[in-house]
Amino acid sequence: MSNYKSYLKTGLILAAITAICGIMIALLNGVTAPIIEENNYKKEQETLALIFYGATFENLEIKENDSKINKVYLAKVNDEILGYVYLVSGKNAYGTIELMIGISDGSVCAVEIITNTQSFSKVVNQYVNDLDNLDINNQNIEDLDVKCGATYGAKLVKELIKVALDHYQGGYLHE
Amino acid sequence: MNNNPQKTNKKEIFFKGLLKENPLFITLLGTCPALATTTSVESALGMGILFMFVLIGSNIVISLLRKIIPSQVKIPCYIVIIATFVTIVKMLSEAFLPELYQTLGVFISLIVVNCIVLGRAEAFASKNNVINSFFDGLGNGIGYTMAIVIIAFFRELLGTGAITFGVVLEFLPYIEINLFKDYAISLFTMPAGAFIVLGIVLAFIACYKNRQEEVKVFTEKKAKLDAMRQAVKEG
Repeated sequence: MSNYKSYLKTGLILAAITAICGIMIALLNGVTAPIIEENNYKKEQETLALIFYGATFENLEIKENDSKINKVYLAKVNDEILGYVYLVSGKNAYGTIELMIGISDGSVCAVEIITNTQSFSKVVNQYVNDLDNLDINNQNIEDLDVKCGATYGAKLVKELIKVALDHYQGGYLHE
Repeated sequence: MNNNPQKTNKKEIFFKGLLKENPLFITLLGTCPALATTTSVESALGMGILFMFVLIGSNIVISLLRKIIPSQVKIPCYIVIIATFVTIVKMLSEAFLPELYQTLGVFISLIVVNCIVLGRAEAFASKNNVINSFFDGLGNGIGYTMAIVIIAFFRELLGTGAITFGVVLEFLPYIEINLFKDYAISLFTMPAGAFIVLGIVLAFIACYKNRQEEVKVFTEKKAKLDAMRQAVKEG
């Protein structure tokens, strides 16, 4: 009986500590979640402007959605279509990557990182920066070298670019 | 003679964590984030500040609850408390320091399994009062921050040839101290360079400590010899 009381006391103390910790985290989440959402929105808008400077962006309905495609934007300047921007994200054993991929005239014109929680995030960031100098399209995407010191991260980036290119080429976009 | 033993004790506790038992350089704990987040002085400073917050917070709470937490489940309780502080720190940094959050990435979450935090909780906070635990957390936190900033300073300087502020910690003004960018050795920005810098710093500390020990032994021997000579003279 005394053992039972001791176990019950231990369980109740554990439960109380965990409950208080959970409440604290929930309260703080309530405060920080809107700020984080606003930060993410700002970053998205800044990256869109970086990819197609001076353009207006329209969020498009995605047909035949790949689970990796979060959003597609149509970039326009004075009713002239400049291209499309894909917001894609993917995950592997090393973390998550969220990219914005600008596609214009069938080729990738820009790749920007939104989120990168990969273990070797700096190496992956450098790999993505180096992609700016390459002309990537459906013909040469398979030849893209992923050897950079963070192969799995680079492979995930390549896969996400391929997803965006395939969707673009597939004619699924509603204009 | 110090008339306030309590004040001396707190000072002793603080400086023990800061220098005498520095968590990185002396006890060699927390080396994983110390090598991973020291590519720049700014990211090391940011990591140190977040780490200090978690360490001080968890030390205080664990010390407050030390008589309530049953000994059979003390480790899970400590982990829950530490994880709560890490989650708080993660949410606050994501909201108010997004660049730092992006730079440090997974290593913010890894503070939960940092040996220093759990080690101080088990070795000190669970056995001492709140004030002493606070000073222990402060000393160890500042000691760890100082250690990783020293490593980061050498890595950034040698690896990039410049020290930059205001990129990761956006509240700081942008300053770039460019010393020898054309002669930078990029190896020092890589993991191998981190090990090299840590090894060299540890070697200097070991050399200094050995020297201190030698001086101490020499002084003791000299004092004994002088005492013997004096005794012979008088005898």
